Amino acid sequence: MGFKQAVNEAMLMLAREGALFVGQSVAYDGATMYHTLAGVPQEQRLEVPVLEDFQLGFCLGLSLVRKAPIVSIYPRMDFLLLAANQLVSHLDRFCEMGEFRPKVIVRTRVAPKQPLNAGPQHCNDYTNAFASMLRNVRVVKLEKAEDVMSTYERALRSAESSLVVEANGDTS
Amino acid sequence: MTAEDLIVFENDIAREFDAGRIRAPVHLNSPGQAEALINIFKNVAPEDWVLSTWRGTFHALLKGIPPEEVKRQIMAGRSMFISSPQHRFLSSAIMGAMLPIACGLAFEGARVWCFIGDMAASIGAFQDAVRFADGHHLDVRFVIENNSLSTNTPTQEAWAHGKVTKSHIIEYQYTRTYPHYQPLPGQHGF
Repeated sequence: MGFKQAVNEAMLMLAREGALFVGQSVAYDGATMYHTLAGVPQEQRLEVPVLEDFQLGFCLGLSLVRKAPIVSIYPRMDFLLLAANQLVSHLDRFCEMGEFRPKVIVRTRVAPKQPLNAGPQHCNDYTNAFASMLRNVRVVKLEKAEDVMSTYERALRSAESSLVVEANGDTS
Repeated sequence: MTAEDLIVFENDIAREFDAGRIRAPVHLNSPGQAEALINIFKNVAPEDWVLSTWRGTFHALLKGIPPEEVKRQIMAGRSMFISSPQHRFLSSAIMGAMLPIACGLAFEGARVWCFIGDMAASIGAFQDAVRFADGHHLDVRFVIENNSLSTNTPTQEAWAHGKVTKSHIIEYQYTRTYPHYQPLPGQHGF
Protein backbone atom coordinates (compact mmCIF):
# COMPACT_ATOMS: atom_id res chain seq x y z
CA MET A 1 0.00 0.00 0.00
CA GLY A 2 1.28 3.45 -0.90
CA PHE A 3 1.57 6.35 1.53
CA LYS A 4 -1.35 8.27 0.14
CA GLN A 5 -3.66 5.26 0.28
CA ALA A 6 -2.53 4.55 3.83
CA VAL A 7 -3.40 8.10 4.83
CA ASN A 8 -6.77 7.82 3.13
CA GLU A 9 -7.55 4.64 5.05
CA ALA A 10 -6.52 6.32 8.30
CA MET A 11 -8.81 9.25 7.54
CA LEU A 12 -11.68 6.86 6.82
CA MET A 13 -10.96 5.18 10.16
CA LEU A 14 -11.20 8.56 11.91
CA ALA A 15 -14.36 9.36 9.96
CA ARG A 16 -15.98 6.16 11.22
CA GLU A 17 -15.24 7.44 14.73
CA GLY A 18 -17.25 10.54 13.89
CA ALA A 19 -14.31 12.86 13.25
CA LEU A 20 -14.87 16.35 11.90
CA PHE A 21 -12.24 17.45 9.38
CA VAL A 22 -11.63 21.20 9.46
CA GLY A 23 -9.48 23.28 7.14
CA GLN A 24 -9.02 24.71 3.70
CA SER A 25 -9.57 22.47 0.67
CA VAL A 26 -11.27 19.80 2.75
CA ALA A 27 -14.63 20.22 1.02
CA TYR A 28 -13.30 21.61 -2.25
CA ASP A 29 -10.48 20.20 -4.35
CA GLY A 30 -7.50 22.53 -4.12
CA ALA A 31 -4.76 20.69 -2.28
CA THR A 32 -3.25 17.23 -2.21
CA MET A 33 -4.76 16.59 1.19
CA TYR A 34 -8.24 16.87 -0.30
CA HIS A 35 -7.64 13.58 -2.11
CA THR A 36 -6.67 11.86 1.14
CA LEU A 37 -10.22 12.50 2.36
CA ALA A 38 -11.80 10.51 -0.46
CA GLY A 39 -14.81 8.71 0.91
CA VAL A 40 -15.23 10.94 3.97
CA PRO A 41 -18.85 12.16 4.03
CA GLN A 42 -19.27 15.83 3.17
CA GLU A 43 -21.15 16.45 6.42
CA GLN A 44 -17.94 15.57 8.29
CA ARG A 45 -15.93 18.23 6.49
CA LEU A 46 -15.94 21.88 7.45
CA GLU A 47 -14.38 24.32 5.04
CA VAL A 48 -13.22 27.42 6.90
CA PRO A 49 -11.72 30.74 5.76
CA VAL A 50 -7.97 30.99 5.27
CA LEU A 51 -7.37 31.95 8.89
CA GLU A 52 -4.91 29.41 10.18
CA ASP A 53 -4.80 30.62 13.76
CA PHE A 54 -8.58 31.05 13.90
CA GLN A 55 -8.93 27.51 12.57
CA LEU A 56 -6.91 25.96 15.35
CA GLY A 57 -8.55 28.05 18.06
CA PHE A 58 -11.93 27.13 16.63
CA CYS A 59 -11.00 23.43 16.69
CA LEU A 60 -9.77 23.79 20.27
CA GLY A 61 -13.09 25.29 21.29
CA LEU A 62 -14.96 22.53 19.48
CA SER A 63 -12.94 19.91 21.27
CA LEU A 64 -13.98 21.20 24.70
CA VAL A 65 -17.57 20.23 24.05
CA ARG A 66 -17.51 17.67 21.24
CA LYS A 67 -16.86 14.04 22.06
CA ALA A 68 -15.86 12.98 18.55
CA PRO A 69 -12.35 13.67 17.21
CA ILE A 70 -11.41 16.98 15.62
CA VAL A 71 -8.88 16.91 12.79
CA SER A 72 -7.43 20.31 11.87
CA ILE A 73 -5.76 20.17 8.48
CA TYR A 74 -2.98 22.39 7.13
CA PRO A 75 -2.08 21.50 3.53
CA ARG A 76 1.50 22.69 3.96
CA MET A 77 3.62 22.96 7.06
CA ASP A 78 4.54 26.50 6.05
CA PHE A 79 0.93 27.48 6.68
CA LEU A 80 1.00 25.97 10.17
CA LEU A 81 3.39 28.77 11.15
CA LEU A 82 0.38 31.06 11.11
CA ALA A 83 -1.36 28.88 13.70
CA ALA A 84 1.60 28.74 16.07
CA ASN A 85 -0.10 31.06 18.54
CA GLN A 86 -3.05 28.74 19.19
CA LEU A 87 -0.92 25.64 18.84
CA VAL A 88 1.76 26.64 21.33
CA SER A 89 0.13 29.07 23.75
CA HIS A 90 -3.25 27.37 23.95
CA LEU A 91 -3.45 23.79 22.71
CA ASP A 92 -0.10 22.89 24.22
CA ARG A 93 -0.26 25.05 27.35
CA PHE A 94 -3.83 24.74 28.59
CA CYS A 95 -2.97 21.66 30.62
CA GLU A 96 -0.41 23.79 32.49
CA MET A 97 -2.92 26.58 33.10
CA GLY A 98 -5.80 24.66 34.67
CA GLU A 99 -8.00 21.62 34.29
CA PHE A 100 -9.10 21.99 30.67
CA ARG A 101 -7.74 19.30 28.37
CA PRO A 102 -8.52 20.17 24.76
CA LYS A 103 -7.65 17.56 22.22
CA VAL A 104 -7.12 18.20 18.53
CA ILE A 105 -5.38 16.10 15.91
CA VAL A 106 -3.40 18.57 13.82
CA ARG A 107 -2.45 17.23 10.46
CA THR A 108 0.01 18.83 8.06
CA ARG A 109 2.30 17.93 5.22
CA VAL A 110 5.79 18.72 4.02
CA ALA A 111 5.36 19.20 0.32
CA PRO A 112 7.89 17.56 -2.00
CA LYS A 113 10.06 19.60 -4.33
CA GLN A 114 9.54 17.25 -7.26
CA PRO A 115 8.29 17.26 -9.94
CA LEU A 116 7.61 20.95 -9.27
CA ASN A 117 9.36 23.03 -6.66
CA ALA A 118 6.95 25.45 -5.04
CA GLY A 119 9.78 27.47 -3.56
CA PRO A 120 10.85 28.86 -0.22
CA GLN A 121 7.37 29.43 1.22
CA HIS A 122 5.70 26.10 0.47
CA CYS A 123 8.07 23.17 0.95
CA ASN A 124 9.62 23.54 4.40
CA ASP A 125 9.84 20.99 7.14
CA TYR A 126 9.51 22.72 10.51
CA THR A 127 8.96 19.55 12.54
CA ASN A 128 11.97 20.08 14.79
CA ALA A 129 11.10 23.72 15.36
CA PHE A 130 7.57 22.86 16.46
CA ALA A 131 8.81 19.94 18.55
CA SER A 132 11.09 22.33 20.40
CA MET A 133 8.14 24.58 21.28
CA LEU A 134 5.62 21.89 22.18
CA ARG A 135 5.93 20.02 25.46
CA ASN A 136 2.44 18.52 25.74
CA VAL A 137 1.29 18.05 22.16
CA ARG A 138 2.77 14.87 20.72
CA VAL A 139 4.72 15.51 17.53
CA VAL A 140 5.07 12.70 15.00
CA LYS A 141 6.82 12.81 11.67
CA LEU A 142 5.32 10.26 9.34
CA GLU A 143 7.59 9.00 6.60
CA LYS A 144 6.51 5.42 5.96
CA ALA A 145 3.18 4.07 4.82
CA GLU A 146 3.30 1.22 7.34
CA ASP A 147 3.36 3.74 10.22
CA VAL A 148 0.36 5.77 9.12
CA MET A 149 -2.56 3.81 10.56
CA SER A 150 -0.90 3.12 13.92
CA THR A 151 0.03 6.78 14.28
CA TYR A 152 -3.51 7.98 13.71
CA GLU A 153 -4.97 5.20 15.87
CA ARG A 154 -2.73 6.34 18.70
CA ALA A 155 -3.70 9.95 18.09
CA LEU A 156 -7.33 8.90 18.28
CA ARG A 157 -6.97 6.92 21.51
CA SER A 158 -4.61 9.30 23.28
CA ALA A 159 -5.89 11.92 25.69
CA GLU A 160 -3.31 14.36 24.39
CA SER A 161 -3.30 16.38 21.20
CA SER A 162 -1.10 15.35 18.30
CA LEU A 163 0.73 17.11 15.53
CA VAL A 164 1.19 14.67 12.68
CA VAL A 165 3.57 15.75 9.93
CA GLU A 166 3.22 13.76 6.74
CA ALA A 167 6.63 13.90 5.13
CA ASN A 168 7.11 10.95 2.88
CA GLY A 169 8.20 12.92 -0.16
CA ASP A 170 5.25 11.54 -2.12
CA THR A 171 4.54 13.58 -5.19
CA SER A 172 1.14 12.09 -5.85
CA MET B 1 -22.39 39.13 44.18
CA THR B 2 -22.82 42.84 44.71
CA ALA B 3 -20.49 45.52 43.45
CA GLU B 4 -19.24 45.95 46.98
CA ASP B 5 -18.47 42.22 47.24
CA LEU B 6 -16.42 42.40 44.05
CA ILE B 7 -14.48 45.44 45.17
CA VAL B 8 -13.84 44.01 48.65
CA PHE B 9 -12.51 40.81 47.05
CA GLU B 10 -10.07 42.68 44.86
CA ASN B 11 -8.93 44.91 47.68
CA ASP B 12 -8.02 41.73 49.53
CA ILE B 13 -6.06 40.51 46.51
CA ALA B 14 -4.29 43.85 46.28
CA ARG B 15 -3.21 43.51 49.91
CA GLU B 16 -1.92 39.99 49.28
CA PHE B 17 0.07 41.21 46.30
CA ASP B 18 1.46 44.22 48.12
CA ALA B 19 2.56 41.89 50.91
CA GLY B 20 4.54 39.87 48.40
CA ARG B 21 2.47 36.72 48.83
CA ILE B 22 1.55 36.45 45.12
CA ARG B 23 4.58 35.68 43.02
CA ALA B 24 3.02 36.30 39.63
CA PRO B 25 1.47 39.25 37.80
CA VAL B 26 -1.98 40.33 38.98
CA HIS B 27 -4.26 42.59 36.92
CA LEU B 28 -7.02 44.08 39.01
CA ASN B 29 -10.33 45.41 37.81
CA SER B 30 -11.57 48.93 38.35
CA PRO B 31 -14.50 49.56 40.70
CA GLY B 32 -16.30 51.28 37.83
CA GLN B 33 -16.59 47.97 35.99
CA ALA B 34 -18.60 46.28 38.70
CA GLU B 35 -22.09 47.58 37.99
CA ALA B 36 -21.77 47.18 34.22
CA LEU B 37 -20.62 43.60 34.62
CA ILE B 38 -23.30 42.76 37.13
CA ASN B 39 -25.89 43.89 34.58
CA ILE B 40 -24.30 41.83 31.81
CA PHE B 41 -24.06 38.74 33.98
CA LYS B 42 -27.78 38.90 34.77
CA ASN B 43 -28.17 37.36 31.30
CA VAL B 44 -25.47 34.72 31.72
CA ALA B 45 -26.92 31.32 32.62
CA PRO B 46 -25.01 28.70 34.62
CA GLU B 47 -24.82 26.46 31.56
CA ASP B 48 -23.34 29.28 29.42
CA TRP B 49 -19.63 29.47 28.74
CA VAL B 50 -17.64 32.55 29.68
CA LEU B 51 -14.28 33.22 28.05
CA SER B 52 -12.25 35.81 29.85
CA THR B 53 -9.00 37.72 29.76
CA TRP B 54 -5.98 38.16 31.98
CA ARG B 55 -8.13 40.50 34.04
CA GLY B 56 -10.85 37.96 34.80
CA THR B 57 -11.50 38.14 38.53
CA PHE B 58 -14.86 39.90 38.30
CA HIS B 59 -15.95 37.62 35.46
CA ALA B 60 -15.01 34.52 37.44
CA LEU B 61 -16.82 35.62 40.56
CA LEU B 62 -19.93 36.65 38.65
CA LYS B 63 -19.95 33.33 36.78
CA GLY B 64 -20.30 31.65 40.12
CA ILE B 65 -16.84 30.36 40.91
CA PRO B 66 -16.57 30.50 44.72
CA PRO B 67 -14.40 33.40 45.94
CA GLU B 68 -12.14 31.04 47.86
CA GLU B 69 -11.46 29.09 44.67
CA VAL B 70 -10.76 32.25 42.69
CA LYS B 71 -8.39 33.40 45.41
CA ARG B 72 -6.72 29.99 45.52
CA GLN B 73 -5.96 30.21 41.80
CA ILE B 74 -4.69 33.78 42.11
CA MET B 75 -2.47 32.90 45.05
CA ALA B 76 -1.12 29.99 42.96
CA GLY B 77 -0.02 32.47 40.30
CA ARG B 78 -2.92 31.89 37.93
CA SER B 79 -4.51 35.33 38.00
CA MET B 80 -4.06 35.69 34.24
CA PHE B 81 -5.78 32.40 33.39
CA ILE B 82 -8.42 31.60 35.96
CA SER B 83 -10.39 28.60 34.79
CA SER B 84 -12.99 26.11 35.93
CA PRO B 85 -14.46 23.40 33.72
CA GLN B 86 -17.24 22.90 36.24
CA HIS B 87 -18.29 26.51 35.81
CA ARG B 88 -17.56 26.59 32.09
CA PHE B 89 -15.10 29.40 32.62
CA LEU B 90 -11.88 29.79 30.69
CA SER B 91 -9.30 32.59 30.50
CA SER B 92 -6.18 33.36 28.52
CA ALA B 93 -3.46 35.96 28.67
CA ILE B 94 -3.08 36.00 24.89
CA MET B 95 -4.86 39.06 23.53
CA GLY B 96 -7.77 38.23 21.23
CA ALA B 97 -6.96 34.54 21.13
CA MET B 98 -10.18 33.47 22.81
CA LEU B 99 -12.25 34.75 19.90
CA PRO B 100 -11.98 31.61 17.75
CA ILE B 101 -12.37 29.37 20.78
CA ALA B 102 -15.68 31.10 21.45
CA CYS B 103 -16.74 30.31 17.90
CA GLY B 104 -15.73 26.66 18.28
CA LEU B 105 -17.71 26.24 21.48
CA ALA B 106 -20.75 27.94 19.98
CA PHE B 107 -20.50 25.92 16.77
CA GLU B 108 -21.16 22.84 18.87
CA GLY B 109 -24.26 24.43 20.37
CA ALA B 110 -22.93 26.18 23.45
CA ARG B 111 -24.02 29.67 24.40
CA VAL B 112 -20.87 31.75 24.83
CA TRP B 113 -19.87 35.10 26.25
CA CYS B 114 -16.41 36.22 25.17
CA PHE B 115 -14.82 39.23 26.88
CA ILE B 116 -12.18 41.27 25.09
CA GLY B 117 -10.56 44.67 25.40
CA ASP B 118 -10.87 47.56 22.99
CA MET B 119 -7.56 46.87 21.27
CA ALA B 120 -8.61 43.27 20.61
CA ALA B 121 -11.86 44.63 19.22
CA SER B 122 -9.93 46.78 16.76
CA ILE B 123 -7.87 44.02 15.11
CA GLY B 124 -8.62 41.62 12.31
CA ALA B 125 -9.12 38.63 14.59
CA PHE B 126 -12.21 40.32 15.98
CA GLN B 127 -13.66 41.01 12.54
CA ASP B 128 -12.99 37.38 11.59
CA ALA B 129 -14.75 35.98 14.64
CA VAL B 130 -17.77 38.26 14.36
CA ARG B 131 -18.17 37.48 10.67
CA PHE B 132 -17.82 33.74 11.24
CA ALA B 133 -20.29 33.84 14.13
CA ASP B 134 -22.77 35.78 12.05
CA GLY B 135 -22.45 33.46 9.07
CA HIS B 136 -22.95 30.33 11.13
CA HIS B 137 -25.64 31.90 13.35
CA LEU B 138 -23.64 31.14 16.48
CA ASP B 139 -25.01 31.92 19.92
CA VAL B 140 -22.05 33.97 21.02
CA ARG B 141 -21.77 37.48 22.46
CA PHE B 142 -18.52 39.42 22.26
CA VAL B 143 -18.34 41.86 25.15
CA ILE B 144 -15.92 44.75 24.62
CA GLU B 145 -14.48 46.18 27.80
CA ASN B 146 -13.35 49.58 26.62
CA ASN B 147 -10.90 51.55 28.73
CA SER B 148 -9.30 53.13 25.64
CA LEU B 149 -6.03 51.48 26.58
CA SER B 150 -3.96 48.58 25.33
CA THR B 151 -2.00 47.83 28.49
CA ASN B 152 -0.81 51.44 28.94
CA THR B 153 -0.90 52.54 25.31
CA PRO B 154 -3.86 54.65 24.16
CA THR B 155 -5.57 52.35 21.68
CA GLN B 156 -6.51 54.97 19.12
CA GLU B 157 -3.05 56.55 19.20
CA ALA B 158 -1.56 53.18 18.29
CA TRP B 159 -3.76 53.28 15.19
CA ALA B 160 -2.83 56.92 14.59
CA HIS B 161 -6.59 57.48 14.89
CA GLY B 162 -7.04 55.74 11.55
CA LYS B 163 -10.41 54.39 10.39
CA VAL B 164 -11.30 51.62 7.98
CA THR B 165 -12.24 53.63 4.92
CA LYS B 166 -12.69 52.82 1.26
CA SER B 167 -10.33 55.58 0.20
CA HIS B 168 -7.33 53.23 0.50
CA ILE B 169 -8.91 50.27 -1.29
CA ILE B 170 -9.15 49.34 -4.96
CA GLU B 171 -10.95 46.17 -6.04
CA TYR B 172 -11.65 44.63 -9.40
CA GLN B 173 -13.40 41.42 -10.34
CA TYR B 174 -12.47 38.74 -12.82
CA THR B 175 -13.38 35.20 -13.75
CA ARG B 176 -10.63 32.62 -13.36
CA THR B 177 -9.71 30.73 -16.49
CA TYR B 178 -6.98 28.34 -15.39
CA PRO B 179 -7.22 26.22 -12.23
CA HIS B 180 -5.40 27.38 -9.09
CA TYR B 181 -2.61 24.97 -9.84
CA GLN B 182 -1.96 23.38 -13.19
CA PRO B 183 -0.68 19.85 -12.52
CA LEU B 184 1.65 18.00 -14.79
CA PRO B 185 -0.01 15.26 -16.86
CA GLY B 186 -0.78 12.31 -14.60
CA GLN B 187 -0.23 14.27 -11.42
CA HIS B 188 -2.66 15.56 -8.82
CA GLY B 189 -2.67 19.26 -8.09
CA PHE B 190 -1.27 20.64 -4.87
